[in-house]
Parts: sequence; structure tokens; C-alpha cells
Amino acid sequence: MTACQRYEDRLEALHDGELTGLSRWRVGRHVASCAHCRAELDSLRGIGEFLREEVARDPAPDLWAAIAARLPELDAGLERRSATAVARPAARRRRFAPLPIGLGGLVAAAAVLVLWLKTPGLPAPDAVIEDLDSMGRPVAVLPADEKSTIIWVLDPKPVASGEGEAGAQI
Amino acid sequence: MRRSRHALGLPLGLSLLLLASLARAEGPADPAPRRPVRVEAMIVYVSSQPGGIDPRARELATMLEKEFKLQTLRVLRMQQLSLALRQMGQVELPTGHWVSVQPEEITPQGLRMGVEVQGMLRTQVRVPSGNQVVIGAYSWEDGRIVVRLAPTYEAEEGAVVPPPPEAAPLP
Ligand SMILES: [Zn+2]
Repeated sequence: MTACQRYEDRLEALHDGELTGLSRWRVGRHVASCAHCRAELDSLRGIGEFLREEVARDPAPDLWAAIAARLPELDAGLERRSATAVARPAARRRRFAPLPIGLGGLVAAAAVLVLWLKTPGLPAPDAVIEDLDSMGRPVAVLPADEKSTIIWVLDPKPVASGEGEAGAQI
Repeated sequence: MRRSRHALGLPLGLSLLLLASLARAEGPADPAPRRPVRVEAMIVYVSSQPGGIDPRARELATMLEKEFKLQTLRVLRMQQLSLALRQMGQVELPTGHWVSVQPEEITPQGLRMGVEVQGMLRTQVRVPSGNQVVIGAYSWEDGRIVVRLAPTYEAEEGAVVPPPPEAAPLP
């Protein structure tokens, strides 16, 4: 089944405003990147504000270059791997201390960052994560082992405890 | 440290009741006649403060310890969602936010599913049966809420899939 076939029957639901939340996001993201489905939706009605909004939010592949350019600003405890595959020894993890709780430097970077951290021998995170929107928060995506992928979204503000003391984040 | 103001301190029976009420599944968007997908949703609390590792999630702790300084991991909720394709299942976090999971399609590379952590993250992932996606979500107490999602499903041609890696259900 092609991506378009997957979404084809939901274009009408999108057009009719019947999709909400996750479904709306997923179909909208496909439409934003697919000329065919865009034309289909266009034939249902004008693309309109909806699509402009989605396109504006779409993190284009070019974003990775911008992210890589910002890597030096990140916390020293975070392994610096660029968005493209970097050849490193499989055991390279041992050369780094565990990440500091809170990834403070990431928070300090105060930018929308998605770090795709790759490890030779493990599935590339972008083979697992097809699409990701962290709603403006910095996020690191890394393979942990052959079966596990971590998506670590930074959340500088404690939700329940309120005090926000330093070191509270992990 | 602030602890036990939340559901963690409840007696087990009450916790189970709470669990049952906190998970819900919405009707499928269309009646796709597919075998159901099971997604094990485990909600845990992790912290760098001393506090011990919940034996029910030792594997998860071991995995996270490779990346993070971790001295506490407590299982808050475990929920098996049985979902048809395009059906959405939801589990509530102790912060009041919902985690939504929507299996989309079984591909040779894994189950394509949408995942939303309300107010924080929307993603589309492709996860083979028995594998897992682990999401570091909201700050809570002295640490973070972590969501582990592990789908299992029957592959094409009736092949049997391996059981979920975390083998210790709630008693
Ligand atoms: Zn399309």
C-alpha cells in the first residue's frame, strides 16, 4: 500500500473537518508533502488556510542541517552526532558518561531542536521515526538497542510539583 | 522529596480500578477488518534521585541507564491496549495529559502507528512486533514521566509474534 493509498480515503474526512487530533495531524502532514494528495484535496476544495498552516509547521529535511549547525551549543554531556549517519565504532557509547539529568544545555539552547542520534549496528532512528512534531520543544531521538528507540522530549517546566528546582529534570 | 501525593501510594486494588478507568479506546475510524494489534503501554516515573528500581521494569531501567543517570524507576501504570488498525487507544498520564496511540498499518518494517503525548509530541513511528518506543515526557515530582509503547501483532500469514519483552504484569 502506498502512502497515498493509505491517506486517500481520509482526504474527504479531512476536507469535511471530521478528523481531529492525531488523525488530522497525520493526514495533514502527508498532504503537506504530497503533491498528488494535495491536488486531490484541492479538487475537494481550495487548499485554504489549513494547508498553509500545516506547511508552515512542516519540519522540512533542511531543518537537520540547521540542527547540525547548532550542535556545538548543546550540553557537553550529550553525544554530538549529526543528522546524517556518522561512522563510529560500535562500542563508542562507552566513551561517554551517561547523559546528565535534564540535558540542561539543550534547554539553554532554547531552540527547536531535533537531534537524531545514530549508533552503528543499531537501527537508524529515522527508520523508526517517520515523522515527529515536538511542538517547539527540543527533542533527542536515539536508538538504545536493537529493539528500542528513545524519543526524549525536553520539558523544562515541572508540571505537578511546581517548584521547578534545579536538577529536577531527568 | 515529594512522593505519594499521587496514585502511587494507593492500595493495589484501588490502583487497579484506577488503571481500568484511565485507559480507554475509541471506536475505529473505519471498520478495517484486520487482526487486532496489542500495544503495551507502560507509564513509569524516572528520577536521578535515589529511590530504587521497580522489578517489573528492570529491562527498561537497564536500557535507560545507558543514556541517563537513573536511580529511580517506578511503574505507575501498565495497560494492554487491544486495537484494530486506525482505532485509537488512550492512556492518561499522572500529569493529566493523555497519550494516544493509533495503529495505522502493518508493514514489512513494522507496525506504523501514530503516537501523541498531549501538548508535547506527535509522531509517526514504525515499530516491529516486540520492539519498543520509549518517550521521555513530562517533568513530574523530581523526575520525568516516561512512556514505553511496545506493540505486538500477528505478522502476515498467521506467524506467531514474540511475547512482549516485559514479562511481569501487575499481580
Ligand atoms: Zn499522497
